[in-house]
Amino acid sequence: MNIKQFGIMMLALTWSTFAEAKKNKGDEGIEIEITVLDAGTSEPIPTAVVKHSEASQPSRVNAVTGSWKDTESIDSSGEIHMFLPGNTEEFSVSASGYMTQVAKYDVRRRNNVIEIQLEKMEIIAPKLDDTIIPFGRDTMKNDSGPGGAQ
Amino acid sequence: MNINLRSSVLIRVCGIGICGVLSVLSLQSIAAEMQFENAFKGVVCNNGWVACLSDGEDLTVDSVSDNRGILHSAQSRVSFFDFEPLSGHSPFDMVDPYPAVVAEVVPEPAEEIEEVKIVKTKVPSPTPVAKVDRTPVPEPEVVPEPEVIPEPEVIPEPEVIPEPEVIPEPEVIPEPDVDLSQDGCNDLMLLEGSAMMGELSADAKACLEQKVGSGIPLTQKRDVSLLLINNAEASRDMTEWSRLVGRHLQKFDQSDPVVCMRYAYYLSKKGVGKASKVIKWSEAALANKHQWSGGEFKKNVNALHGLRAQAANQLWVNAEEKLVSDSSEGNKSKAENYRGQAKNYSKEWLDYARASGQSTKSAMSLCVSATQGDVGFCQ
Repeated sequence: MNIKQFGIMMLALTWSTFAEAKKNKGDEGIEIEITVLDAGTSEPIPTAVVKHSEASQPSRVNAVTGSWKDTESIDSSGEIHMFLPGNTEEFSVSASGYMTQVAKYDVRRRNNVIEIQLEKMEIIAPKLDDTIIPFGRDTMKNDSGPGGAQ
Repeated sequence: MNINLRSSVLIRVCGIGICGVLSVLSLQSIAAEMQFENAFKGVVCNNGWVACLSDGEDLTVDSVSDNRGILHSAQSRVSFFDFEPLSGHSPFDMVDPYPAVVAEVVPEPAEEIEEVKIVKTKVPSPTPVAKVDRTPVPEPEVVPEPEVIPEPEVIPEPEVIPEPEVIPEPEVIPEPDVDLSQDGCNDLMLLEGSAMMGELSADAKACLEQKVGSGIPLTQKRDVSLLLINNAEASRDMTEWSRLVGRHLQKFDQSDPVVCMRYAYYLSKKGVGKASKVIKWSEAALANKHQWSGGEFKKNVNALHGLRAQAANQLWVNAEEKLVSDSSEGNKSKAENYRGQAKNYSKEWLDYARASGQSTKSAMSLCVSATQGDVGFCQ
């Protein structure tokens, strides 16, 4: 192989690489990164999950950093939804023991980093201390209702 | 002109004359009247007293009698029928002189005060008794004024100290002695009062415990167990209460939704370690929810759904935390199962709260969290 042939081969390889790169650039979405934090401690929540509105399944965050990032989501029929600049994407962020949040985000060309803080769930339990346990009584059975021991 | 002058003078002279005559006449009548009043006073006794002795005869305001015994007014001087003089005829006869001491007033001795009543001593009126001497006396003797007898000291009223009302002591109703040795604590209704106050004696409790362990029918064991449970709750011994309720539910009866619900509620405060039991006894109570009705039904059923959903949520949270530290397939599967359980229970809670018109806020939060963002499931 002489120098001429080597040059042609290198030119073709460069062209193909450039073409492939150009093709890939047009198919990929923009990366979005979401970090989920505890609203009280500002610490990452390792058990949090992020679910895009089009996605069939939620995705877990990194247990150490509490972050999740992706460029696309896949729905239940297998169709890919890419995150593109100018679009508005909706994410549901939840974690066990925390209140779920739904966030809408306008995608930009770069630097799509979102920080979401979740608050702990507080459920007001009913008070049942005042319900008195009755003494045992045997009642006569009748036709209108349950009888015998009550 | 002259005629007029003469007539006017004549009229004036006549007027003056008439006035003078009238004045003289009126003065004469006044003088006569004063003379008569001086001679015949309006009172019986001429010294001004309303009663006196005149010639040893009593003169009073009552009446006087003439020679024939006919009564006349005491003021009359002569008899109405025959003009004979009566005892008060002469206005000039003086009454008999008064003695130096008319009467000695002996004050009554003060009675000893035995009671609260006050005895007031009356002072007799110092009415002087005079003796009238009918013989004319040139100068009337000066009648000494009666001695002023000081009024006896008024004994101050003693303070009335009312005796305290004697409140009769309430009859002490003796507590029915439950002879446990003979009766064997068979009469549970007799012990209910003490159990409600948490005051079952140690003997009674021991007797009841022995009874529970004996071979009596299960319904009787249930009743004895409920008595012990009530006693423990009233005495705020919740550790003993939970032991007794746990035994009651395990061995005697699970059909009472109140006992199941109270036990589930008690366990729900003991952390995630008791969450499975909370779900178990909540479901047992829900299985007998038909025993409630009305508002009680709505309140208790909603509470039981809530207890169950929260317990499932606790289990899921716990499984998720384990999964973070150990992301094995087993843990992953467990976490997913618990999440599904929490999702279903929270959805049931949400549906019931919505249907019964109660607050859905907590149920919705739990449901959305358990579905991990699948809001449509909870709608």
